[in-house]
Amino acid sequence: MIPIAFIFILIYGSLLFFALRHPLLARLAGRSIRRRIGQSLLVVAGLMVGTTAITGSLIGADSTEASSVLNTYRGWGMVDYLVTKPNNASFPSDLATSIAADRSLASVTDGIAPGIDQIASAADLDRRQSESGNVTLFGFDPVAQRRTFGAFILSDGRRTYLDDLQPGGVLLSHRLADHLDAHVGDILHVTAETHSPGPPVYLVVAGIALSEGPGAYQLGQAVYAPLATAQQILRTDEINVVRVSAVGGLEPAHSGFAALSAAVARLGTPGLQAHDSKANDVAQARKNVSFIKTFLVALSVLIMAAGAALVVNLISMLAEERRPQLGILRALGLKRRRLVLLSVIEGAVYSLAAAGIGMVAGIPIGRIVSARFAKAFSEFGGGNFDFRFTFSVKGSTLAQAFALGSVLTLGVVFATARRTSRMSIPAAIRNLPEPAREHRRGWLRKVLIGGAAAFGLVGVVLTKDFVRMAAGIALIAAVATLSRKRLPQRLHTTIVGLVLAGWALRSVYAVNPNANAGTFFPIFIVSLLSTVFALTIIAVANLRIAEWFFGLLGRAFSGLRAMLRPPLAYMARRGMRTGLTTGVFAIVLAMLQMFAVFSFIFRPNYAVAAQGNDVRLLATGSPTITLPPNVRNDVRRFTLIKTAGYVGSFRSPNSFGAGDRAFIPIFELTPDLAARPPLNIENKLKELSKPQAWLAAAGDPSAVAAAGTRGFDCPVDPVTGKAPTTGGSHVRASALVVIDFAAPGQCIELQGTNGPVILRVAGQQTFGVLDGMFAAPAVLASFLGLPKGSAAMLALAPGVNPRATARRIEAAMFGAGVDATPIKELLDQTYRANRSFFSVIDLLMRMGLVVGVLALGIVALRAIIERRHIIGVLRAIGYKRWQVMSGLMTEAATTTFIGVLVGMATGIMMGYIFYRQSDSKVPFGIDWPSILGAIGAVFVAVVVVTLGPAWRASRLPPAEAVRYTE
Amino acid sequence: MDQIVRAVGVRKVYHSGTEVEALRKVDLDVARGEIVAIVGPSGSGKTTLLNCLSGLESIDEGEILIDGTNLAEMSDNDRTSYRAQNMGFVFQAFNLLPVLTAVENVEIPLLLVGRPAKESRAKALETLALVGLEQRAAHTPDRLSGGEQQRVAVARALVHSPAVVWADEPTGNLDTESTQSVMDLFLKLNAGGQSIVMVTHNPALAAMTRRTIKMRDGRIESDAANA
Repeated sequence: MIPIAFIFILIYGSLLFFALRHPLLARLAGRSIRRRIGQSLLVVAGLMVGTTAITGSLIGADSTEASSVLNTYRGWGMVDYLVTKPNNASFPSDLATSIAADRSLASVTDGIAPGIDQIASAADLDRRQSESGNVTLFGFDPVAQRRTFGAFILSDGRRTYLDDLQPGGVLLSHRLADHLDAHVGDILHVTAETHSPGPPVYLVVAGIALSEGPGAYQLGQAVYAPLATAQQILRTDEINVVRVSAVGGLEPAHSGFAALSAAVARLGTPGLQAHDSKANDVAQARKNVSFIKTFLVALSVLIMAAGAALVVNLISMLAEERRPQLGILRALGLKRRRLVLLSVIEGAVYSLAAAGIGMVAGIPIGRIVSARFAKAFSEFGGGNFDFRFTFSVKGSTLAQAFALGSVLTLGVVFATARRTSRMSIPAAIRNLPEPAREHRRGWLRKVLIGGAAAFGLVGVVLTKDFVRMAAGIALIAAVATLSRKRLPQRLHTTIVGLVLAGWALRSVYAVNPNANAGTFFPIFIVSLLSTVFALTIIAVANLRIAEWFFGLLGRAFSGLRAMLRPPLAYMARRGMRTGLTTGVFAIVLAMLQMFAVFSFIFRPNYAVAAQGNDVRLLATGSPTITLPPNVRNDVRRFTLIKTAGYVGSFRSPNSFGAGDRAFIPIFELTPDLAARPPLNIENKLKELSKPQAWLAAAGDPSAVAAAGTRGFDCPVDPVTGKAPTTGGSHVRASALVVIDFAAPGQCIELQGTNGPVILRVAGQQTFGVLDGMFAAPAVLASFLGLPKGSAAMLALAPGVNPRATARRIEAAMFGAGVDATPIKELLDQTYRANRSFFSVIDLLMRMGLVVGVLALGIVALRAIIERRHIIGVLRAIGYKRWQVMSGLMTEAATTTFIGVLVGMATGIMMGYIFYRQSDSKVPFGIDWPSILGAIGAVFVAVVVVTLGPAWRASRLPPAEAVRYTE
Repeated sequence: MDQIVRAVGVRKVYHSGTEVEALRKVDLDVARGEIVAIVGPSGSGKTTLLNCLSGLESIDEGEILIDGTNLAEMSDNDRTSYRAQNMGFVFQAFNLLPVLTAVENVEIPLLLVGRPAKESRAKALETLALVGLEQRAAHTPDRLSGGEQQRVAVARALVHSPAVVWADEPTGNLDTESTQSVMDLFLKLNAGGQSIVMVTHNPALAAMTRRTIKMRDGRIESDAANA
């Protein structure tokens, strides 16, 4: 924030100084702005795009972060710290009393309560519905609730501290109540692993808690019970958590964590540990959102690049229109640098106005972006999490966007003004074509080429990732410059373009798409821009092929040839302008095309994703599942998987969901299960095949050996996120696992019975069916006492309806809390979440399309201004009005077509690279309806924006147009 | 005598705020194969007359016959087609398409009237040779001198053998040497039977033609054969 504010003040302050020192220039700039208000408004509208994109992205990121942090605070409520044993093990409730009695905590805590926190399943016996897998039983101490942690607010408006509930009465979170369709008074059965056998405990739904205060605790599907009732369900008199509230409300200013840790340590109870849970989760929430921030900023960079091309076109248009006037000023003695200053002073006014309006326009864009992200988050959680959206507009963000947008715009204005200020004064005064100019070869140019070549050679050999890619580009640029005169221009440009595109695509292929966002996005963005640039220069250099093609048509229709020759020649031989406009379209279309590929290849492949299974069963708290007799004949294959519910600390530098109280289902991966895995592996370590990844996670020695001697080395420390220093040793994992919430190669750290357990991801299973971690029995042994459960995958006989079967199973087994879901529904849910996520990109890129369409409108206007005389001559020698109009529209349509082609080619190539990296079993393809819809809309918009200028051009009176003075 | 251009009672009024009568009942005949210079001070109406005679501008009164065809009765579309078939133009600012080579510029009128591409190219090269620029056929205008550009423009005006060539200050942007070269070209073409009507400020150039028409305040002040 500070550097950009400083740069803004420095630049605009200097300009103000110069404007005051040169009042003539300031007056001329002011008159130019006021003279044609319509044109000035058009320029401002064009220049505002960049700021709108930045503002939208930054506000989207701010709001996503604010929402994420808000939900974290909501989820913890008044609870700041937890005291637990590893693996959620239980301990005597006296320990909570002992902690509360510690005098050192009196001034820093205002509530210490014993509690229960246990994964369970819930069945509503009246509604015959059950939920499993994501249900938690929370036991709260009513006394502490009343004293510190607050009241539950019920859906009927009542408030309760749980002390007024009837025996067996519990509250449901409104998410769980929705899923069970539960009503107050329903009989409920909660299944969780119990410490001793006994008859089932039947409960009564005493109320449905709103997501406020303690009713929002952990934001999921929850049963909130008085502590005694929770202990009754688990048949224990122990607890497994002590919840501590720090002095200072929801966001305590002073951390009492150190004092609490010391107090817990003084108890001397083995394994008992304090966790700074709320603060850690808030920090993790902010960290998770940094990915979103990087992602949105990366997208806005693309739109800014497109916007920069638009700015160049706009400023060039102004310069062309005023060329005779500027030529006269030069003739009268205005130096070239003063001419640039004149343009920049005018541009500064435009850029400030554009930044102001763009910033305001970006606010609703940011709101839409963040709301869509919130929707995607909610859908990724399968609707289990009560994710609340908040819209955040910070003054500092707006100031940052304003400063950044205006400074970048002014930078482009300056560069363009420098270019357009180079003029032959006599030619400019008479508005004659600029004579050809000899390029001078100065020492600076030699130094730059030499520097680029040296950096390129060293960088390509010695560095990696972004620096290596940049070095390669510098090397290509240096070689291209040096070899320019040695080859015919068209051949030279084509070769340079091919080499550049090849290098850019190779750079993306080389980077791990699961690398952290800071590494991946810069490479991706520069690679995409480089590929677009490379393909654009190839297309523009070879536009004569289009001329040749139309020439072939012209053999039969020479009138057509005559009509198309001028526009095609303008395109082919004004490469810079054509390239800028096609580039705008190409950047945006490349992104849209790439996501059309993603949209296609992320479609669920039902047969492969779940290895032919049709229904998933989950039963938390039940170590086994026995199918009811009435469905057994319909089941072709039944795969039972033992599960354990891990709740506790989870550390991983790049994973969502990391935190102090993460819930991770662990699926026991036996050698038999690994040999016939229940899910497809989407991503894996390069060293392993898919079957080997499963076997390695099951502990098979030969598969483990195939992972290599470094197969257990963590690329970065899972806690600190730091890579080992040169020569330093890697953190080593104790086992390989298959997981769906972290990328292959990454390490995660969980809290085992005897300390931290570090695991490395060998493969990533299909998301959304059995979410969690597949690990060998030996790994599970590190987590003693985890609550047991079970899952099952059913492959049905041909012709059996999965949905009907799932209903029959639930109806028969709801009492045991068995949740049965057709796998197709689970995969569709994930796909919907993916599409929600992509819709953000789609939204931003469609904003980019607007830039492209505007750019074409500007190009059409430029064409009229610049070619006024030529149009007059063409009309004089026999071009009819419709031919002039058709020619200009053909030019716009062809420019768009090339942009679309380049964009589609780039998008398909990029999409294919990601497809190859993803190991997806879905055949490669493109979501044609979405991309063709966008392209169709573009062409319609192009016709609309160019129709007016083309019509105006065709109506130019030839006698007036051929006059050489304005 | 065979008239290629015949104007009778031509009146042209511009309505830009105040009404300006640019041509006041002008009568004029140009014989086939004649080269005529129209001279006069700025604002006298000479360019307006040329524009009206060539059909670039419509007239308010009178009639204009080109080779017997009344332009005033034609629609804009028909007038445009007629120009494409029967007229050639040379302007002061050369007005070549900067993105086309010399030969490509020259062949445009032929393509416009539907002549085959190969034939058009051959004819364009032939015409460039006629103006002495066959070696510069592949050059774009920015690689040509002003005089060369104007000779290319002359070639473009001639390539489809028009009934009449209209030239509006064709040497206005040229140095003395180029002016002479272009004028020699006009005279050579005229000697070959090409009708040319030229507007110029330069009395010396006007004197080289067969006939000079002097204009003042929208009227023909004098119309006399040159010695």
